[in-house]
Amino acid sequence: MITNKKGLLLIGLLGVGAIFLFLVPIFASRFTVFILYLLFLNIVLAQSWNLVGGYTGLISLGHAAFFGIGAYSAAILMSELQFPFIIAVLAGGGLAVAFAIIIAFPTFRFRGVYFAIGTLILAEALRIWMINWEFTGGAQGVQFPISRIPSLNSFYYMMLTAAIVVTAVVTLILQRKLGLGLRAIRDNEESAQNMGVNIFRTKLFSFTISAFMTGLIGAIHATRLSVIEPYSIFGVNWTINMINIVIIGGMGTIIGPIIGAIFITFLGEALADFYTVHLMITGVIFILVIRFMPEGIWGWFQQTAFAKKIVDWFLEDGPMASGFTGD
Amino acid sequence: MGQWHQDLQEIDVFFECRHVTKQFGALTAVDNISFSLEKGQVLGVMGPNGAGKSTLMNLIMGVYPLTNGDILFKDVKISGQPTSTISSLGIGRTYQIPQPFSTLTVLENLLIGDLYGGNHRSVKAGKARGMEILDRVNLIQHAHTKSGQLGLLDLKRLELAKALSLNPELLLLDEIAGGLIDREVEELQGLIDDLKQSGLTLIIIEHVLNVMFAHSDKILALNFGQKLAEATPDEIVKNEEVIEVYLGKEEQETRPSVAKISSQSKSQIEETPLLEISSLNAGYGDFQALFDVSLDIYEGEIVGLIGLNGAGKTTLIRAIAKQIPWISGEVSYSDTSLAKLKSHQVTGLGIAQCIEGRQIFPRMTVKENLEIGAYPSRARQKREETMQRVFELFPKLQERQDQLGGTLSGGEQQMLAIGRALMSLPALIIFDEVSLGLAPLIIEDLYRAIREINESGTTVFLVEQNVHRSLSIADRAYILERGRITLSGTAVELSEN
Repeated sequence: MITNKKGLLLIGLLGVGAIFLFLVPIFASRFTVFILYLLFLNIVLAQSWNLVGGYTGLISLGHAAFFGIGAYSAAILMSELQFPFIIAVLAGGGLAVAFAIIIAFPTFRFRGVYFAIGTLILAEALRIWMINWEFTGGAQGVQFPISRIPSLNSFYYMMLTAAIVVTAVVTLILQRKLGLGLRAIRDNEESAQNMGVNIFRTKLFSFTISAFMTGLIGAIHATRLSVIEPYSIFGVNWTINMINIVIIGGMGTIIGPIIGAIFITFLGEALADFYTVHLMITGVIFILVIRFMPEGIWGWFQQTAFAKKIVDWFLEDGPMASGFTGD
Repeated sequence: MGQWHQDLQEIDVFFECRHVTKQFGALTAVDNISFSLEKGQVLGVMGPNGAGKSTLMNLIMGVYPLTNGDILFKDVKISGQPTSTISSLGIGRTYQIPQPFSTLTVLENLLIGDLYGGNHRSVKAGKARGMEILDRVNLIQHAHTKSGQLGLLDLKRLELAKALSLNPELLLLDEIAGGLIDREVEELQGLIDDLKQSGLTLIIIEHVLNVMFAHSDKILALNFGQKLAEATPDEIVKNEEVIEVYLGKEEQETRPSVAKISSQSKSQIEETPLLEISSLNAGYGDFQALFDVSLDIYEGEIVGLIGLNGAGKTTLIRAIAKQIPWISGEVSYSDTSLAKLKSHQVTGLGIAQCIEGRQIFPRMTVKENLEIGAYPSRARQKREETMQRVFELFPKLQERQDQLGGTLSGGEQQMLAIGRALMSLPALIIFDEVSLGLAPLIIEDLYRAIREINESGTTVFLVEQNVHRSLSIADRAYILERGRITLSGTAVELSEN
C-alpha cells in the first residue's frame, strides 16, 4: 500500500524500534526486562479497553472480570486438567468472550453511565462469587504448576508480541467497516441505525474482541504470578488502571494508550516504595490531565505547533495524505 | 433475499401505509393513516407542529413499534423490522436537526451508509462513490473536514448526502429547508429536483410550503394525527379546512401595527440605553466573528437583529452573555459594565436568553422546567405568580404541566423555552431564532406572545434571519452582515429599504 519514501521511513523506524525491543533481554537486567513486561501488559490492556471505551463509547467498568476469567481459566486448565500453556491461554481468552456475550444482552440496553454501572455490578458480583466458589479454591485461589511456568524472558517476548499484535489489530479494525461503525455509534447511535448499522451486533464485535484480548492477557499474567486469588485478580483496580492509562494518554487514539502506559508504568516504578503517595500522585495527575488536557497527552500534543510540523511533513503525499487509508 | 430477482418482477406495492396508528399512553400521535406511493412519486406531508409528521417518519423507519397497522415497501412488510434493516432495504432519512457523526470526517460519514447500507462496497469503492455524492451536494471541498465543524447549511447538505450514501429508493426529507435563507433554499430545491429526475421516490415534510408545493405530486395534510386531506398541491391550496388549520383564519399581513407607531419615538425619549454595545470585537480563538459592533437597546423597546446564517448573530448573543471572551469593546447594561462579569452574573442582572434549538430539559416535567427558570432569588419568591402569567400566555403549557419536556411538540417546546426565560423575571429577553422550524400558525402565536411580553414592560431583543417577520414586530432593527452592523433604523425605514 505505502510506496513513498516517507512512509517507508516511518515503517523503518517502527521496525528498528521493534527489533531493539526484541534484543533487550540479551543485554538488560532482569529488573529492566520485568518493567518492560509490565509496560507491554499495560499497553495491551489499555488498547483493548480503548476499543470499547474510546472508540465505541461504551464506558465499561467491568473489564476486570474478563481479566480474572482469563486468569482463572488458565489456572484451572493447567493445574487440574494438565492443559498445555498455549491452549490454556487461548481458552482463557475464549471464556472471557463467552462471558462478554452473556453480559452483552442485559447491559447493551443501557447507555452512558447506566452501562458503566451495569458492567461494574456484574464484575463485582462475579468477584464475590469467585471468593465463595469451592471449585476454584474460594478465597485461597489457585496455584499454577510451578514446573510448567515459562521463564521471565519468555513472558517478555509474549507480552511484547501481544502489544504489537493488539495495537496492529486495533489499527486495522479502525480502517475497516467495523471501525467506522464503532465510531458512528459513539457519535450518534440513532443516526447510525438509520444508516444501516446494526447497533447490537457492532457493539458486540467490539466488546468481544476487547474481552478476548483482556482475557488472553489475564491468562498470561496469571501464569507469570504463579498463584492467584479472587480479591486481587478480579479487583476493580485492573479496570481503573486501564481507564487511567487511556484517559491520561488520550482516549479514542492509537498512540494515546501507549503514551499513557509508558507514563503510568514508569511513574508506578519510580514511586513503588511509597504506595500511598503513589496513589495520591496518580490521582492528582489524573485531575490535572482532565482539567488541562481533556483529550489526554497525545490529544494535547497533536494540537501543538511541533506536531503540526511533523504531520505536515508526512502529509506531503505521505501515507496519511488521504486520511482514511485502508481497503 | 435475491433483490435482483425482485427487481425483475413487477412490484405490486412500492410503498404503502395501511391504517398506521401510534399511541403514546393516552395520546394518539398518529391516527389511522393510510396512503400509498408509486415509484418516482413525491409526497409532501404538511400539518402544524404536533400533527404527527415526525412520528410518522419515525414509524416508517421503525424507531418505535406501531400500535396498529402495516407499512409495506416493495411488497415486503417493513413494520416490525429493526431500523438498520429498513434503511438497508433502501429507505434513507434526513433529520430536521442535523445528526452528523461529529468526530468523523464528512467523507467517513458517507462511508457508513455505503458500507452498512446493503451496498457492501469496499472502502475504496465507497470513498469514490462518497466523493461523487459530495460533488452532487456541493460539499466536496469539505470531504476531509470533521463534520462537527460544519455550519448549518453544510450540515443540511451532509444530512442529504448521508441519506444518499445508502443508495436509497425512497428518501424521507424532514424539514430540509428549515432554518435556511432564500438563496440556500433555492440551492436545495435544485438538489431535490435532481433527485426527482433521477427517479427517486420522496416523502417531504416541510414548513417552507413553496418548496414542498413545487415538487410534490400529492400532499398529505395532517392534524392531530389524523388525515385531513390527501390531494394534489393545487387542490390543497383551495381546501378551506387545511388553510384554517395551517395558516390561520386571518391573513398574516393585515395585522395592524399601531403599537409599532406609538413606540417609534421611544428611543429619542429615553436618555441612557438599557443595553449599550460599543465597538465590540469578539470571536472564537484565532477566528474573529464580530467587528466593531455597536448597538443600543432602550427600555421598553423591541429591537430586531437580522442576519443570515453565519453572520455572527449567535456569537453576538454569546458575547453579551459572556460565554465567549471579548477582544475589545464594551457592553454595559443600565450603566453597569459587563466586562468583568462572569456568565451567570449576567443572568443575575436580569438578562434572559431564549436560545436557538429549544434547549429545554427533556427529562423534567413542564412545571419543573419552569421552576428551574426562576432560579435568581428575587424571581424565586414570585415563582407561583410568574408561572400563572406564563400559563395565561401559553394555556397549552398549563394543560401539559406534568408532561415531560421531551415529549412536547416542537412548537410547545419553544413555548416552554420562552416561558422558562420569563420565569427569571427579566428586564431584557433575548430571543434567538424563535421561529426556526415551526409552522406559520405557531409562529403567529409565539409572536403574539412576544408582543404581550413586551407590552407588560419587558424589553425584547429579537434575533431572526427572517427580515419581514422581524420587522413586523420590532420598533427598530439592526442588520448584521459578516460580523459587522451594516444598516440600522426604525422598522418602517428598513422596510422601505
